[in-house]
Amino acid sequence: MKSLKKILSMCLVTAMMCTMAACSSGGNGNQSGGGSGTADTGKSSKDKEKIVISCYLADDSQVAVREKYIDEPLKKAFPDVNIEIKMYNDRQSLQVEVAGGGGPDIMDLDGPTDVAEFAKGSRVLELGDYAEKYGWANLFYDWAYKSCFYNDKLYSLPTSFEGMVMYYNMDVMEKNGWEVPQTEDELVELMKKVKEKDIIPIAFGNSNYQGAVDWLYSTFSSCYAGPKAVKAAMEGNGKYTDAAIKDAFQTMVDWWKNGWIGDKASQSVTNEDMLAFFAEGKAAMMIDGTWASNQLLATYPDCNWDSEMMPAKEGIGPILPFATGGGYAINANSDNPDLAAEVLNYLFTSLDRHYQSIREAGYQPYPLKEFDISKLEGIDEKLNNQYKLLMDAQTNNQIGYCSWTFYPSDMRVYMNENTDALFLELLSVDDYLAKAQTYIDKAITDKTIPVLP
Amino acid sequence: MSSVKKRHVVPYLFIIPAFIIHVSIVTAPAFSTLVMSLFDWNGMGNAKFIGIKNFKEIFQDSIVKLSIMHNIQWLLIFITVPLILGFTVAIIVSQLGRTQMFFRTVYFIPYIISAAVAGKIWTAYMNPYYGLNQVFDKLGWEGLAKVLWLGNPKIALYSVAFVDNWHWWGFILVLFLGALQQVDSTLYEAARVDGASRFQELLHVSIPGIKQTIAFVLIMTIMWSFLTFDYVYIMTNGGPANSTEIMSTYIYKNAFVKYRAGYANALCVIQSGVCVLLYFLQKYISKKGGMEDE
Amino acid sequence: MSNGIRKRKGYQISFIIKRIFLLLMAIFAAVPLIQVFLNSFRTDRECKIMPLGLPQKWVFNNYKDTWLIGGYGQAYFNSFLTAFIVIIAVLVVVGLGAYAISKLNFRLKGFFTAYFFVAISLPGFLYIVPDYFVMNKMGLVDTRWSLIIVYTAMQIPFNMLLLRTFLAGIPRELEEAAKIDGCSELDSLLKITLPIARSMFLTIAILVFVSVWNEFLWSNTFITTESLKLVATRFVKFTGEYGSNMARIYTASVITIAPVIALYLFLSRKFIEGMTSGSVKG
Repeated sequence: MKSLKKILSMCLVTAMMCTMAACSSGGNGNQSGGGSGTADTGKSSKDKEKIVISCYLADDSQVAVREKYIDEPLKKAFPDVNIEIKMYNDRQSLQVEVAGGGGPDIMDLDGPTDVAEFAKGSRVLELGDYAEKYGWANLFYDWAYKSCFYNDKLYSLPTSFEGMVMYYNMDVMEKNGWEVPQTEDELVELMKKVKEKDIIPIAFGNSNYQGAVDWLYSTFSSCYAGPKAVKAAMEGNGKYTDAAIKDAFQTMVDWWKNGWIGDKASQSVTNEDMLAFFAEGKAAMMIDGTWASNQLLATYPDCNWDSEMMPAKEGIGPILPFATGGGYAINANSDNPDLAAEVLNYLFTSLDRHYQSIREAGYQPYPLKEFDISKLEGIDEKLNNQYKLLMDAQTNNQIGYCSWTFYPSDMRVYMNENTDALFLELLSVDDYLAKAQTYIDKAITDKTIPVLP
Repeated sequence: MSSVKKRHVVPYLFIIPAFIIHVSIVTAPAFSTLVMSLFDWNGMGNAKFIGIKNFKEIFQDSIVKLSIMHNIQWLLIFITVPLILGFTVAIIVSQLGRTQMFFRTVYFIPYIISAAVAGKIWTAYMNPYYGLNQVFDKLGWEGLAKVLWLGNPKIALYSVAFVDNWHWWGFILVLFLGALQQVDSTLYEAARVDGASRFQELLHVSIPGIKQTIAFVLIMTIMWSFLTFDYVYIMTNGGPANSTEIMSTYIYKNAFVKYRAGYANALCVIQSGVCVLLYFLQKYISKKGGMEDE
Repeated sequence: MSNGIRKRKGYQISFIIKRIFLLLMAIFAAVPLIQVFLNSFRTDRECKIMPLGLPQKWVFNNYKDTWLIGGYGQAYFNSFLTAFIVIIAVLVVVGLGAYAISKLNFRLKGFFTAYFFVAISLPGFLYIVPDYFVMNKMGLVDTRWSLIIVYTAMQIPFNMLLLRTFLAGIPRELEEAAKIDGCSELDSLLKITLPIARSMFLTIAILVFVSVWNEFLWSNTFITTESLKLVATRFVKFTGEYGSNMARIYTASVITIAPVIALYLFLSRKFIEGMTSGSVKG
């Protein structure tokens, strides 16, 4: 009897809880399903059309900033639309949603190779008509725009452009009387001197993110094999196993083995450690992307750094490996594709808003032809110099190729997984390059090879 | 007449709710996904039927063989260390008086910290520049101080297994403690009356009393060592150079990084298949050995 | 006489050895948590430069900031609610089922037992997409119910088998005695087995609670509305594209783990009490 009473009371409590749960989630659950995300308030948002934009990783301070430069202006420009910005911190949830028939209307994906996979699965819309309507082809830099094509069709718009540069900790350099090297030979000399002083020459760590090696090999292949050689391999006029590229990779491996890159411990050190070592002066240099400047400014504001193009190899000259940092694509499951296209267009044409966001929040610039660097007055000197560097490189056609934008995705995945094996001498450079070449061959036959500028 | 019928129906009524819930949420959807292992699919649409081509590729894929090897190594570590540790500590702790609560809580803590945070802290401990190696250095143990715990492909797997052990044995402890509490206390009294020492009590009362739990924990550990994912993924992501690649991380990479969902599903078939095989194997062995757990 | 003294001395030595061993294990188990706790009092920059050791500069605003920004008040409510319902559901369903496969004899007993073992070998990847698809169509995505249903299903196999193992240790004669007295199976389960097995049910409750509390992948995928998110997914607010705020992440970990420890302490006390009162006498 007693236990029966207990059970009854349990059931009662459960029933109460269930009703509570149902009530609070009832608003969401029984609406016309299918959509993802809901209105935050009880306002009947069914009258307004709805656009959901996915946004990647933003901590609380960045969210506040984002609200100022994206949410608010969007609301002003589209007062009749309920625009929701949803955060995703990993690609799995997004993929699962899209595979399951849902997902946001506008997706901020990792880059052209990412978009290509979505395109293969017919999960993103082809943007050709919208491009004609809004004249997108003329808005963007050619190289950035063309990288967004897959199978000769446009599937995304480039959200940012970034490049690989060499960072120098100027405090460490000046204290030891070292000068920024201009050529590869000078760099080698410098690294020897740095090592003698028990300082790590070039910081690097990828234990938490193996793929960081693509920063390294993209830089070495573009700068020391040269864009011509890489382009030839991608177009089928040459091979990735050709001497120039092979030498570049061998250089990278040798430098690692000498302890010049990552002090022979890069697999035990995280990205954060890498940045911390650089900022604290444990390392003199680091090869990183222009995106790192934001982190440096945010977490280590007193670090006195400078960024330059990778010291050049004779005969090739200074090269800046470029990449598009992400791509906006329209979900094929979207209910409002036209509206989504309009919103996209707004983002890329509201330049004042964009300049403000760069100036005040360190946002990365869109690869727009019209981009006027003088409008960025007031930002940190170091950042300004870096942007100038990027602009000049584009104007002077010193463009290199980062793997996550310009290489076939299988090839990039293979290289990301096996570069450490190169460093640890578990794999030979020849085998590595030969295997990489097979992916190029496959992409050429499948016609999925990216077009290099 | 009706009571006999009732008896036949009642067990089914008891077990059906669990069965139905589970089949509808887990097994049926899982089978639909497993079917996709016969396709060339990138996870989002447009699947191309390719029959058993994925499976043929698996047999030639050296990384699969490597992953299974690593899982086996993992299995060997986990059916020994945490079980022995957990059991020993459970015996000792269960005999404690006032301090029992304190120890039980402390030992359970590693299990309840999320893998993401615990993994991060341990990665920090294993960092060659500011981690435990610094401590070893100061103590003068130069050999240890130079070891790259996560960077050396030869030992990385053991380093991660060590951390997962730290996380896991608290769980085993709780299970053993629960089982020990079920042992009829009168049996202990009877043994003591017979003049048994503490150790004899252990041998003749405790161990037989929790025999089935030990068997259960053993088979669970065996199966789970093929499914483990969290710590390896967080600490080394399968690296360096595939030295910690296990089935789960390889499946994950294929599904979400390489967009080869069809192949990933085929790998899942293999993974689940091995688990099931191990289950039936141990059942056969224990039947032969007389350790009936049914 | 001397035997008694020797025995006592031996007892003392083994006592000390055991204590030292336990303390060493306790230190080993607890040190990383202590480090996480210490890190919650540091600045973000310190956490990144030197994640180990004592704070050089003690900061105390992390807790308030993390709590507010992460919306942990809401998260606690969501997680407690979800966990509570899941625990009840699992205990009921698993209690019945484990009783059946451990005590009762019926034709398909072997099948069901084997089924649940095999079920454990199915990893979450296999069924997350179809489940999402179906729940999306049913409009359950982004509600607590989606998680409650999924978690209940996921917790069934292991706990079923665990309880079965535990229950098998209870002699069948007890329930048989009750049946002779005229009880139905259900009655004998409730009146005889349940009181004895109370500590087992508590163990399962704790394990389920910990699982639900810490589960990340599914709750992250199925629930996207801020106000409904569970505790485990809140810390991602402190991870950013341009770097994470590690200090807040550590603080978030402490906030996440505190209720579990509290609950464990609370329930465990009942354990020990339940042990002495629930066991069989004669």
